[in-house]
Amino acid sequence: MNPNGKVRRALVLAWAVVMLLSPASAADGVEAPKTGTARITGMVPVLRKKIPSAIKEYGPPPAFKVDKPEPPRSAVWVGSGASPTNPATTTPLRIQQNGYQFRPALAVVRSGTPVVFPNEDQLYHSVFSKSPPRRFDLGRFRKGEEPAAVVMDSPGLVQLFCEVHEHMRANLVVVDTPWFAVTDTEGRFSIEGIVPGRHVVSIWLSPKQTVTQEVDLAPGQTLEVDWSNLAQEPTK
Amino acid sequence: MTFASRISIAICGAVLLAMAVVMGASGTQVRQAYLDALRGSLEARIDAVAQSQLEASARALVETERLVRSPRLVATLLSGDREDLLQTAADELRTALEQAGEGAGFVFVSDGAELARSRGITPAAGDAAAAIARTVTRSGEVSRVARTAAGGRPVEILAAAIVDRSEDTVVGALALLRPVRFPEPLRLPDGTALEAGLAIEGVLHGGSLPKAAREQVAAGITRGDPEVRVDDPESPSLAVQRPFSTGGGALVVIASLGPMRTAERRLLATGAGAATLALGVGVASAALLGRGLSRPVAALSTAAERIAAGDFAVRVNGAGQDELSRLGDRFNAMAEGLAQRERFRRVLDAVTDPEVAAELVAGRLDLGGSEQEVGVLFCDIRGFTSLTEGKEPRDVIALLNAHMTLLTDVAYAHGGTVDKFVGDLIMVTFGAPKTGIDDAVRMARCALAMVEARARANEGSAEPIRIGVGCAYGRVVAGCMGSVRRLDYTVLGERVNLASRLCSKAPPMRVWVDSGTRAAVGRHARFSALAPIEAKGFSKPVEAFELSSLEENA
Repeated sequence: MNPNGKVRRALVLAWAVVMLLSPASAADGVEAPKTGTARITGMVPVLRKKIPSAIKEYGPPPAFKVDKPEPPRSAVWVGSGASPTNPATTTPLRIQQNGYQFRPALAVVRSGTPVVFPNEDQLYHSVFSKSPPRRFDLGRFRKGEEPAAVVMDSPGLVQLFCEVHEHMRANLVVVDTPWFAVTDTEGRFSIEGIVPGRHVVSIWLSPKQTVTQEVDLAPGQTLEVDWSNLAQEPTK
Repeated sequence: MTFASRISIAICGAVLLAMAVVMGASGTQVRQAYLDALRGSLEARIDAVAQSQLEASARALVETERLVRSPRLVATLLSGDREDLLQTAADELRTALEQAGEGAGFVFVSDGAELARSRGITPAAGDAAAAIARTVTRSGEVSRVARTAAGGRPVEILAAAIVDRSEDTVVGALALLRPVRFPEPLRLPDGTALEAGLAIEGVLHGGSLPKAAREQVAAGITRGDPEVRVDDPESPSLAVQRPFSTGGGALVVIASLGPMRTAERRLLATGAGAATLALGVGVASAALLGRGLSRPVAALSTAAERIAAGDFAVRVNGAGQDELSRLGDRFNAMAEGLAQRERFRRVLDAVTDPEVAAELVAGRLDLGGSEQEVGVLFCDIRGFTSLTEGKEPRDVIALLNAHMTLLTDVAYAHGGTVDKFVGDLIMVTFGAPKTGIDDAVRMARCALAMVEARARANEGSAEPIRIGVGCAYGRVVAGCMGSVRRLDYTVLGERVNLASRLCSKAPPMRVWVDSGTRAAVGRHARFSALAPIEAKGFSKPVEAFELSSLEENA
């Protein structure tokens, strides 16, 4: 299953819940939630990333087969803190360890979302974060020993590490907005259901680089953007 | 200077010279051997110290390099939480920090700036570590070792790059500071202490050397001398170095040479004692030897003096086998020979006239004779036959000897030569073998003295002896007569016969002389002419005179 689709489905679901439970937001001048919302599609940069040399340092395949990491992508979200507070989605996000890589390697979740880390490999993994928005350490566990979900309660970048495999890395962007997307490997993205108005669009390119753009969205508008030249670092 | 003292000085000088040479040579050898052994100890010690230092350093570096790869550290560094970073490093490096002891710590750098440093490190050392760490983040090195004395104490810095293994990028560096600790001094059995130290940037750290010696060692180490000798009398020492292959600085191990100096002084004192002892023994033995030599020599000298004085009975103690004893034996043999000759001489003197004997001994009298003016005196006893009648021959001999001794003394006293004794007659010559200027006068005086001496001896004697004296002066033949094997020195001629005739004619206690005597004595004497007498061998009667007195200073 395509993670993007999954996320999108989750976002759509979350948005629907917000809409239903929050008459105040509906009263903010959006007459028709379905028809009156705006949409952004377009291109953002995707930064080039080397394949870590460490993956060659493990035992020989097939006994210990280390996959290449997922190709790099970028993340985009619209607004922050402007949206009404939403209850956490009940469906947790799955970030699995598979082929000695985190999958997905980049995810965006709305704050309050629980995240689970199932181990699909035959050997131990560990998952921990030292990032200020959410520090945790699940310790080592095997396949089937899935630890409890971790709820991402504050916005910000949560970097995920495996203590056992130093090349493994996942970036989890926690946002306070229902409008977000992870691009495809080319940098294409699409975000729908955005309440019309002025918004700041954040484009996450790497842990060190996030750029923003301002947009003015009219009801029912689909804004086509080409932000593919925003990056300061070399892109693919 | 005596013989003995000269020998003493020679022996003592030789002993001292030998001791000085032996002590000098052995002292040098002993010191060389000591230094060689000490070098072995120093090398072994510096090897051991270097090994333990390098092992500790390597262990700490392994821990550091493991830590910088750890995802936990990378995660913490990327999170930017400094306190967490310090805590993580303190936890992960606990073993290395504990082993490094007080003053150990670490510094993190990231993006060319210092990120965090642990407490307990000096600012200067921390800055130095941060500088090394920044170098590592730029150079692409995995790690680097450096040693510095910034902050006053030597510190080893182990810096390693922190690499994000997911990105393969250097995200910072960690520098571990390890104060360099030196092991306790190693004490050799002789008390020599081997102290370890570290020379960095021309300064020696560690050890207990005083300032001047410390600077001297540091200078030598900096020059690269493998060995530095400090001859400072307060802290003599020998240092060796082992430079670190990386990170700078050199390990140094210093041996105090004090115990060696002490041992040398002790050796010298022992040597001086031995020299003194040897000198004492030398002087004593030289004195003994000298006395053993000088005593016999002195005895020989004394004996020689006594022999020179005429004591031929003297002998030296010649028992023994050495040269001096043999010399004593020879000396005794010589003395014996001299005594023998002296006895012969005495016998010679006794059986012949001493003057004649002297001439004979001197070899001046050959067989045969020469004509010369000689005075001849005959003196015999009147009525000798009646005098000896009824007497024991022994008593007669004693009587005769006493008489002849008296006359002989008188004859010698006047320089006469006793020619021979015949029964009660004594024949004395004057001017033979040597002619004198006053032979006739002495003869005349002798004749009168004989009569006078006899008269005096007769006073109070129960058996007075009367003598008659006859003298003649003129040419006679004097010389050795007889054979080569047995000869007599005597005078022959008519004057001898005349003197004999005058003697036999002369009345008791009177002196009759011939005309020759009268003419030779001249006016100094009083003569009274007698009737010419018949004499055997003379064709006509010869003139005769009676001598009655003589002037005192004739």
